[in-house]
Amino acid sequence: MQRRSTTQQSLIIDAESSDAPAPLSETHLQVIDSFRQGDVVTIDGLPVLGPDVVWFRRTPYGAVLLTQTCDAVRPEKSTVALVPIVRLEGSTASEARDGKLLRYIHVPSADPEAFADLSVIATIDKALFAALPRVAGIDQTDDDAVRKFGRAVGRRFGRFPFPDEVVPWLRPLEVVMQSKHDKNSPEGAAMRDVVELRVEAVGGWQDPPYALTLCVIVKAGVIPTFPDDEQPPCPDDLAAWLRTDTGDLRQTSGAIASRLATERMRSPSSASVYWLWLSLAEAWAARCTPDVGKRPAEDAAKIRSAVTGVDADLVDEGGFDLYRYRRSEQLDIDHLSPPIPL
Amino acid sequence: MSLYTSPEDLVLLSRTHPIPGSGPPARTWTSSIFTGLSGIAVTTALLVGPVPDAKSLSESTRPPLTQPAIPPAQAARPVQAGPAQASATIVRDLHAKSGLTWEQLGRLLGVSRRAVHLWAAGGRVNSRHLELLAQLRGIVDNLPAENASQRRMLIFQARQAEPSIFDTFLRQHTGEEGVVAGTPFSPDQLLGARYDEVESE
Repeated sequence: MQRRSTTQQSLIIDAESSDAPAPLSETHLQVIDSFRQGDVVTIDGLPVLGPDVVWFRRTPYGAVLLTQTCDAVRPEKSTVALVPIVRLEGSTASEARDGKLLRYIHVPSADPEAFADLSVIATIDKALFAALPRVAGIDQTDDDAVRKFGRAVGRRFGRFPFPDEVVPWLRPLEVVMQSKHDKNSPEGAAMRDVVELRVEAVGGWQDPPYALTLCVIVKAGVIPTFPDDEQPPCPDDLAAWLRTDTGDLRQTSGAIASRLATERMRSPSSASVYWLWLSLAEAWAARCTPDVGKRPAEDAAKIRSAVTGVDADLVDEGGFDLYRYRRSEQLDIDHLSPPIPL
Repeated sequence: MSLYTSPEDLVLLSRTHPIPGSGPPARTWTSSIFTGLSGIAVTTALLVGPVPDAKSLSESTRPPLTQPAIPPAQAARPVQAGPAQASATIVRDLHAKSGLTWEQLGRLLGVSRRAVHLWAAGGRVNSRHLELLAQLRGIVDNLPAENASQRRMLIFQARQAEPSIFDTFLRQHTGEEGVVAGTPFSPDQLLGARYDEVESE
């Protein structure tokens, strides 16, 4: 066994040696049943292993139990994972609460301004954890809140990494979605009927160039249903308004959404609404064109050649099958990250 | 590379039913939009001319769609059209000739029937979907049948020791390629998996 520090808290022990942490005592065993993911404990700091020293990230607001409840309560597991709590204010707090900052998870039961900071994760002995003052960070009677916390942890670590050169293609759509979603505009209203945006690389993500499909998945009942498989006829005036003589879409997503709002008021299950929804999905797909800005020519060329095109598929949430689900990824890219180097 | 095929690039196979007002001389073998895509030879064979024998092409690239009852593609007379119109025409033509419902076409192409509706109306089609459309059209064009009803019957007809044409096409394009996440683990990976190396009873 090698001891590299003389301070009590940074004592390093070979886990295979006889000095490894002792099994949990009866007292501890009685306590761990109550451990829950999201619990907040009072602790001075969390250890971070450096090249020559173990240093401590101070945690004046405490730390949050990250370990899943099912694992935290198992007596044979001797450790749990903790992350520090930070206090956020203003727009940062607002974005974090809205799930826009994946680094932070709100733990409102502890403090309205408290957020778990997932950028530092420490492994703590359960015996120590059991001895710490502990309160619930999440209302454990609120199933949705409990699941939300778990999903936020998974999202931080389980997001699909879109290829770097594909991100600039998707970012314009993301910007539009963010800018319009909560706005009192026809396009914002249409977006609020969208359950999820997923991106398929038809043929796979192995090698560029990618042929992408934007899957716009909307709430059930939003797209008009017709009695048979046939296409509902698109009214001539609408067809002429939507497309040029050569068949290209001539309207922007905003214009289509405006007309959609009008038609939905008039007759929500009409063929016009059907075609306007399809065209709106296509117009959103058309947004996926990269802005290479001031990137070096080589990078710009690499980005432009990474995607051969983006088409659209409008599906309601009951009609998106497992086949498509397995081959698509949720559109979830980090909008605050700087331009991605290639 | 342009986002979509230019009108000059998109030359669709139309051996038996040329698109009205089209019919320029045979094109050269190159098409920039498909450069680098897998299965390029099969697709290109169906999209641009001059069109070599489909059998030799399929054998040199992807596993051939085994269909002994189907004669190999014959030399096609390519046609030109604008991208939106051309893809819309091929979708409508495929729907009419195959006798397949929009839903069935969608299944074969891995999209919803609404996407096929949109394509038939001129909606944008990505290059991989164009490939699949062209492959499917090549198959339908070469079915030994005289009308849509007969073609539909042949497409679903059970065959000796191999799946129907419909199922064969579906299987070829529903492999594991493209699986990214969603449900990234198969049942045999999930069932019986342990959370840690050692489990205590």
